[in-house]
Amino acid sequence: MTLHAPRPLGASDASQAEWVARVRAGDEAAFGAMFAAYYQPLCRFALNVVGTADAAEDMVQNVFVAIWERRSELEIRQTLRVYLYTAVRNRAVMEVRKSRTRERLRRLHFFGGFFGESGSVSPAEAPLAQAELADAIEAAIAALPPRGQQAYRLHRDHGLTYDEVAQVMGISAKTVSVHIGRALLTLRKSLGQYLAPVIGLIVLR
Amino acid sequence: MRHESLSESELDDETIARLGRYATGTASAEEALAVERWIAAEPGRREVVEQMAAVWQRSSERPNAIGAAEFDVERARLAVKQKIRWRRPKPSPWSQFAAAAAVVLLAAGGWWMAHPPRAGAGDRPEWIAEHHTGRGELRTVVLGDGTRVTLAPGSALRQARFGRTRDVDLTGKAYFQVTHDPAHPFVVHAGPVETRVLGTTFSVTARPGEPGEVVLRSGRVAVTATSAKKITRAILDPGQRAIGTADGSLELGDTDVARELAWTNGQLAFAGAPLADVVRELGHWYGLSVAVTDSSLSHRRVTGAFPLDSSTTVIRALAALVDARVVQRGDSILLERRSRL
Repeated sequence: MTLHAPRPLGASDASQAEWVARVRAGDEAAFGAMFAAYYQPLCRFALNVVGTADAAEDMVQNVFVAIWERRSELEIRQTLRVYLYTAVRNRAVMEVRKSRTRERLRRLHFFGGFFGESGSVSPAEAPLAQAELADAIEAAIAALPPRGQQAYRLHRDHGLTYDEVAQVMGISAKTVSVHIGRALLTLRKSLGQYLAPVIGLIVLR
Repeated sequence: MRHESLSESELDDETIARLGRYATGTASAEEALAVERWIAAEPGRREVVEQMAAVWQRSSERPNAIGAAEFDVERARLAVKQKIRWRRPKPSPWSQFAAAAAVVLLAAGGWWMAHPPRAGAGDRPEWIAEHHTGRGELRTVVLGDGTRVTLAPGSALRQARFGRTRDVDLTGKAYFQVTHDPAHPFVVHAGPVETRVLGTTFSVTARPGEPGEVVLRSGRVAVTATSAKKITRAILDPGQRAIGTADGSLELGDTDVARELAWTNGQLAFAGAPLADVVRELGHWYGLSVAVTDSSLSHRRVTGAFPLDSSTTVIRALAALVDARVVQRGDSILLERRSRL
């Protein structure tokens, strides 16, 4: 079985650049396409930081409004993907700092129930059914420490490369790989025994 | 069998990073070799790394990892359009008259300075659209800003041109899911009760002759009851209900929101409600006049949920529950106590 690095979301680097050029020229259709491609993933990403769907959606919408309003001066040096995720992340971090209640913790605790006491899991008699496994994995990811969780989600779910994750989070690519490695070690500790064994391991790039 | 042998604290960052890249399929050839050597050095390590790879692989199978089911793109698109429109500086046709007008207003005693106009206060919003539901009809409309309004049967919603505030007028009952925009408050006018939205999901009931009611599901709303003599204002938290009367007072309490909003899913739910109230609610829903003749019957308490299909079925079920008879008199339906034989 071959294990691939996750395919990036949305478009290739080239078509991302083309979208930016078209939006800069005022092309509404390109703006709409960009919106449709990135809105949901960006909201999900924001949700993991701020904790409420409303705040997440509001934030992401405002990022797009700002892009359209300043479209003639739009200058994106990195990939569009990095620009969008960074913009959302910056707003989200500011928002969390401003708000006194940490809503995010509420979401973490909701998922924590699956594991009972933090970390300890009762031994499974048989591997979990598909849907239960997805929930268990999501719960385990939600229980990861915040920065490691963010790095993991950006790479696994949103398909950003290590470099892109590094740019969005403002850290080095090396730190990103440490985060992800650590995340996998933790996840495997709580979930490992639920997974059917993986036969063989082919990992060369 | 799990091996406890691998303790993360024993590993340095470099090794952790390498194991991660190996398990995610992004290790270079040299890194992969180094990892293989590391694995071979101790029993139990292979299993750990294989499990890391399995978690990585299986975690790509989570169906809602990037919000496909959670966020409504079309609704958001409308909201973004609206936000863009609001922020566009409007070319003012009155700018040339503004200076003259200011002089006139000041000359009139500086009234505007002392009483700056408050949005909604006495202003008559310009109604530009109207939605109605008939008997037994449940409909959800989406407003220009993406707000979703679910109207109960026999309700009417009027919408104003959205400007600094987003105003709607309601008769009947509706459930609101308001697009979040703190810069442009969403205001529901319902008889003597005005609800100003600070957050998102709530229901408003405003039937002529009955007290107005607001039930808050999530977010925050400010509710104001107005009469000629009195104005009462309160801010609701989720799970609370406010009842506002025409004399300008508000009564606050906690309520079971799921039960109060069951109608949005085509069910009416009650917990210990007096039969008279249940019958009145059903009457609103089906556009019928349903009454209870016997006072001892009207005080009976009803607990249960009724799926709202045909009026006959529901009324019969209700009658059976309270041991009453259904009598049709003209176009009214009466529930009568069964006479003892």
